[in-house]
Amino acid sequence: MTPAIDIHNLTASYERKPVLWEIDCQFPQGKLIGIVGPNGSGKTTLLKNIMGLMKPDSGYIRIFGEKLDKVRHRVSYVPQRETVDWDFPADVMDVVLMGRYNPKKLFGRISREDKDIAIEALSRVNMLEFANRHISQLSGGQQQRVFIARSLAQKADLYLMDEPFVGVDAASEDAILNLLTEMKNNGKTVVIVHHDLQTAYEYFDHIALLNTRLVASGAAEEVFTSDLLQEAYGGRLTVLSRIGELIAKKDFPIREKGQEEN
Amino acid sequence: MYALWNTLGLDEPNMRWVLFGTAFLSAVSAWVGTFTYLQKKSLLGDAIAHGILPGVAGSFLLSGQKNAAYIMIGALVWGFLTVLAIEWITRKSHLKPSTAMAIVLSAFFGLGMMLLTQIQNSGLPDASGLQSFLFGQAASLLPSDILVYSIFALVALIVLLALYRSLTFVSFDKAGAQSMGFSPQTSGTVLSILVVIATAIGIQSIGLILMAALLITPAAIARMWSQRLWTMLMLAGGIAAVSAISGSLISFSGKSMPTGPWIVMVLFFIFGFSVLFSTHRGLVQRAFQKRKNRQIIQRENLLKALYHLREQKGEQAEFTFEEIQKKRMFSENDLQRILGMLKRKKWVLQGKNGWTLSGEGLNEGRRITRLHRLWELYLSQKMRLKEDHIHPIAESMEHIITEDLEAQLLHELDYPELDPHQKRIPYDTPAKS
Ligand SMILES: Nc1ncnc2c1ncn2[C@@H]1O[C@H](COP(=O)(O)OP(=O)(O)OP(=O)(O)O)[C@@H](O)[C@H]1O
Ligand SMILES: [Mg+2]
Repeated sequence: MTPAIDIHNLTASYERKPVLWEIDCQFPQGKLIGIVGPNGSGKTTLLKNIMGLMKPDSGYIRIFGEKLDKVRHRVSYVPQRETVDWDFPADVMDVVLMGRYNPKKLFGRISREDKDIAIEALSRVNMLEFANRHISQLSGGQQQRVFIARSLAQKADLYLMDEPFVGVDAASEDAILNLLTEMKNNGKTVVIVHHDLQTAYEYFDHIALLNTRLVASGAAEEVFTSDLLQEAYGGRLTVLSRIGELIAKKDFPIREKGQEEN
Repeated sequence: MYALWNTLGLDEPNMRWVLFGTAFLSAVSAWVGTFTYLQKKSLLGDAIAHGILPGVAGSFLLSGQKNAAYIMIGALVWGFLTVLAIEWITRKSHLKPSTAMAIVLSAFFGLGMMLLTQIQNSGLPDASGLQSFLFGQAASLLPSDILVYSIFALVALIVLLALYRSLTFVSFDKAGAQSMGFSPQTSGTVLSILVVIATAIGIQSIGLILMAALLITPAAIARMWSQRLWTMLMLAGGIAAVSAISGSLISFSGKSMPTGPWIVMVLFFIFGFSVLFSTHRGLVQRAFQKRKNRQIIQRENLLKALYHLREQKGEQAEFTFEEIQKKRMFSENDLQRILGMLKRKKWVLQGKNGWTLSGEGLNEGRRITRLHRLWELYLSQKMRLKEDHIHPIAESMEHIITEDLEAQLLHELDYPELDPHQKRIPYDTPAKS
């Protein structure tokens, strides 16, 4: 089977400072996959590159064997919760319906079917009773569940979620995890960015350990060895980060032109 | 009434045209402004409004006449130049957009003023009216001008409707929208173009300098009364139209008074009113709530004091003013007032020798006392706080605990009999034994 996500030699940087070096790995379909690493290790950056939200310096990514634009309707992305404005004038239903918006349609209208899909998504995350509540009046865990409902409403095959368990209490975390497992059992691929080592091993079938570079990627029990964990969570690779700073300062190209095709 | 109608010139169809035209133009500006408000780009309108002055003056210099169509063309061209200049500076330097805006705004406006002075010294026949571009002069609008501006406004409105969802989604969650194939760059550019149009159409009715108020203030006001985008847009449009009409009317009544300042004053009046009275965090409502809370607290404290006195002195006793004051420090005025209030509610009765609780007052006093003691017990048992720390906390919590919470407390503490100070916890019906 073609991998759900196929990452080739990805290097990505902010303002010329590389934060991901030569990432090369594959995520299988139909699994619950964790991207795990300490703060600032580039997990969010990796998701952004997968979703085409930033341009990599080199390397490329295939999703279900295709370029993103061809399969975009099969992919759903849940950003980190703090990145959006929760004081926006909208209620829970409005936000979930955004999952049904179509960028190709001008004067887009919401159909009866869209509404039904949104209602179903809300009930799957147990938030139906809050459908008409303003989003600023939700707790962190509830906001997270609204985001997941919006993602469900997209009816995708591949889900990418950035830290869905942050600021969520234990009961909601269980509920969300059950939902994700159920999605997996229905053949969906779910990729979760996660920074808690304690739970990562229990939650995920496949784990990518990240710390600016890819430390390991594979079945959970293969990746969770003390050596690899030490490598990911232990001291930073000082040479690598110093090179990054040098590149930023001197305006060096990270890749020389004409060297690589994608 | 009819006389007023006449003095304002409203019997003339021209005047009505102007009035309703301005209302429509203002509403469109406010709708566009709502989206800049949501994208936190409020300053953009101000920058563009000032930046288009050279275009307006230039169109006059080239054509030699005051013609709405030429003015629009000049304004649009310089509006885009302003946007491009801001973007270019932000991209090429490390300056923040707001800094770039301030720089471009003042430079372009300065250039515009130089051109304007040039025109005024040139002695061209129409030149005297040019000041009206700065502060607006609705009375000088011709129906043909209104028509030109309205066509542009209509175009802006259609674009807004076409991209409604895209603009909304990008304003709320840029990354999420982009991941679904919406383009933040495109909607950003379109919004900038819309702001240019929304600003240019108000040149003659409000004037450049105050135009930003019409873009932002209605949106800010509407946000105070509404929690959803759709109602917010309706309100913002309505507010803009109403203030445009009333501002224009006031300015018509005075001799050659500029319109812009009046419209802005009306807007500011509505804004001030909303800050005070809005249902969504309005100051008056909040003050009201605070006052109500204080009253509840005082009332409950008095009932509790009476209940305590009754516990000490027996059921038949009546308590004098001084006895109550000794039990709990109330100022004389406060005590008088609260007793009066409770008497009207029939929660306390005034007997020959003083005050006593009625049946209902007794229940209430018992409830407060119970909550206080339950909470103390909860704090010391479950949170392991020391006994001398728990009283002040319970003093404030007793007024907040709801029935649900009380039930839960009772359940968790298993219907206790005594509080940590060994005082009996009173129940309406005898406690489970
Ligand atoms: N917009 C940005 N501009 C510049 N540097 C950035 C930007 N976003 C992230 N970085 C830097 O890139 C590195 C990786 O960031 P990233 O957000 O991908 O980490 P993360 O693994 O998601 O961390 P966290 O667990 O805190 O979410 C960090 O060192 C961060 O400082
Ligand atoms: Mg992150």
